[in-house]
Amino acid sequence: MAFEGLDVDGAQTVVSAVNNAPSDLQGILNNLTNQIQGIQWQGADREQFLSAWQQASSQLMNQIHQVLQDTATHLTQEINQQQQASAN
Amino acid sequence: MNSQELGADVAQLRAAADSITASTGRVADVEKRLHQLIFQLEWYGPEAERFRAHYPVALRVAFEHFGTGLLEQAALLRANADQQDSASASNPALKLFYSMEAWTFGNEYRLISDFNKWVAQPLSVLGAEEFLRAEIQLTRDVQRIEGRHWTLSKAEKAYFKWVRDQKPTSVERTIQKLDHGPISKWPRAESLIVKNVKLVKGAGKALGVVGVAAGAVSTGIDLSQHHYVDATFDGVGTVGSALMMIPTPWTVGIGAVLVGASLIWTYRQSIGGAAEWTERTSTRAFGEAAAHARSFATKELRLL
Repeated sequence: MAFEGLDVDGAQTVVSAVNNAPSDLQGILNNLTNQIQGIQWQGADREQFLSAWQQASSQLMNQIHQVLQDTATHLTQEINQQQQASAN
Repeated sequence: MNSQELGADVAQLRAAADSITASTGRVADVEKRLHQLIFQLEWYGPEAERFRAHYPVALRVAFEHFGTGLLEQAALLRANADQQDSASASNPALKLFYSMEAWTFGNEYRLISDFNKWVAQPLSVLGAEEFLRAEIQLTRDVQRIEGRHWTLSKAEKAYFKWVRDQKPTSVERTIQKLDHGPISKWPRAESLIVKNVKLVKGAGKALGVVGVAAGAVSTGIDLSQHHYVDATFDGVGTVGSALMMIPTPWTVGIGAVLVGASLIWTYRQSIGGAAEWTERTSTRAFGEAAAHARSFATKELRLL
């Protein structure tokens, strides 16, 4: 049934999924980092790449984490408003 | 050839690059799941519309950016693997460097970087083609990223365009050289010759005089050393130079043939001697360089 308002349980599922996304992504990056560090590779190129990889991965995580956090915060506010409205 | 001894296991480099590329699929799955949850949510009204107009788009852009960042790293790894491949296959200087690197690996890192910086890299100038190949591969990877991620933002597209502009491929460089290099200046040179006929004729005569003088001296030296065949060809060259100073088609033609015959003989004699000298000298120089590099490394190791 369509209704004016928010399905609070459904919204909490979305918030939970959004909050879990950074750890999913971090898991992907950790696996890749382990594989890269396990490469038999010596020399300046290795150090240069590892440094670039660490910098890029932490930068990418920070950027996406910010967007995910904004999404979860906004939706949590909507849930709170809906709960207050339902209580009144 | 054991690739590990030459700096990096290229198969592992490429496998890691493939894993990074494959991981972008898992990243896209995370975004897709969030997208579905947001749009399946029972939520109607202006607030819901505002939310759905902004956050799914922001998430899509952020995840695309994340995936693109990963693909750039994969491209870097592949470029390293290609560079390693080509360097190991055909560059003796880098081969020497990597074999020494494998020999002294561990806390001798400083020594290796110094060796790389001061010895191997300068020697590898001859292997510039390999580096160009890696550069071209990087450009292709960037193009592939663009092709796959057609939803790139304007800023990202502008960035990739900038990268391409900064790093033209060897073909583009060749075209640039042809457009702006000495070849395009030939018509101008030709026109200068036409405008300065007297000067050109004067220069021709001067060259003829030098040719006659040099030929005469060479003939004299060869005769004094009893090199009669060489003396004969030098004499032929001298006569040819003299004939070419007489400005008629026949004299210039015959003179040119005689000078050509003389030059071919001299070239054959010189090139034989030069080849022998080069072979002897380069063999000794490479041996000495390798011995010196090994001794240098050993001393450094003891210090460390």
